[in-house]
Amino acid sequence: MISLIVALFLLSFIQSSTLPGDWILIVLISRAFLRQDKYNYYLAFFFGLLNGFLLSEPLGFLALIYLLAIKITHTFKQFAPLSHWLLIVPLCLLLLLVEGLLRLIIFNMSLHFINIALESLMVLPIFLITRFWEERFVPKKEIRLKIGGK
Amino acid sequence: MRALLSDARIFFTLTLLCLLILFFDQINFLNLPKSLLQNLTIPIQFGFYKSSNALIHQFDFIFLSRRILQENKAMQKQLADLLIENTNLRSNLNDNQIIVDQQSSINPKTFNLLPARVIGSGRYLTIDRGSDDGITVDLAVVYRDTYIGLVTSVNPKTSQVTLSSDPDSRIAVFTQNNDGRSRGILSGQFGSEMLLDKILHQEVIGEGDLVYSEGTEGKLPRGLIMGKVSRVYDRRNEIFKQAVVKSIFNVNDLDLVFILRV
Repeated sequence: MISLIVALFLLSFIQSSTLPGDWILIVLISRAFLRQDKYNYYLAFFFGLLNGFLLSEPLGFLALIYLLAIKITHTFKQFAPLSHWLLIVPLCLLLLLVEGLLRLIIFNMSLHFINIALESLMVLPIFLITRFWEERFVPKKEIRLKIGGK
Repeated sequence: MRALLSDARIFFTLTLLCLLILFFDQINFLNLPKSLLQNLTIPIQFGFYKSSNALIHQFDFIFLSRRILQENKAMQKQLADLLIENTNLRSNLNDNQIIVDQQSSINPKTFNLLPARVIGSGRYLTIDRGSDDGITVDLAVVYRDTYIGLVTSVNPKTSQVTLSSDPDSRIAVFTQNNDGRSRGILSGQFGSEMLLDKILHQEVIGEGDLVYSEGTEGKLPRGLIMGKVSRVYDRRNEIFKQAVVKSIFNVNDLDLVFILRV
């Protein structure tokens, strides 16, 4: 978790100064798609505030967007727990579109569909890296085997 | 079931917190903590921005080597033409200088320029000046005599600038060459190009013409350079002509810009 937080911190600064795009949101959606736990909400809240602060956007707006995205991802996995991992691409596209539409309605910012489509394709390598990291380097709780005995 | 309820509780609690923070931010209650925190984050953002630019420039030679050879040949020919033109211009300049001196004593043009560092770029340019420095929304940002963008969002120590190439940018402009003048509306097209639209067919515009701001919106002074015409679309079945305008400078190469405080 600490390594993920450090990576998200660095990514926040990179997103705000050199590489524009919704990278934090994509990483959070990838993690929420893999593991549906409460820490996703805390990460979304905190990094939504940090990103909003670094990008000079109204504080709290991005955090709301990220929380909504995590909630939608959790709900999707709840109803389709064995869904194929490639479904993250249309899910990410939908969530990025929702974010773009909210910005259009609230702040009157133009929607750039090509950028959204490219970012939703970038979710694939990011998801695979996140999955590799979670499976190989994140320790899970011990599985206790009940030894059936008489 | 218990886990679901717990998740829902966390989600709604955090959502309420976000709404509270949003409300406090809108009434400027959080300006002081934001200002203090920006003293820490601005140097970090600037460091990332400079480092990435330096890294990108390391690989420029791969793309530029062949282009540089071709440009070198074209520039040698252009240099010879320019030397001839320079001689003619010098004699015209002397005559014009007398007229300009006369005009400047009657109607002096002064701008209060505030320098600002660029600390982030993407769709919008982020600069390290904010409301603490007297910056307000709708101030023009320039580099030399070239228009860069308009301040659209202000924080205590930083501001966001909407670039002239942004689709939300619409500015009244004019072009001028030896054959005449044309007027139109310059709007951004994602990327580095802009579209000059609503040009009447009888007005004259050509490739290489410089595009200037009209100054009619009140946000910009007249005469700022907006870009250079790279292509003209003159279709007789259309009501207006259009032209593609390219920026004089690459915004990503700018470290310092200036805010026009009128």
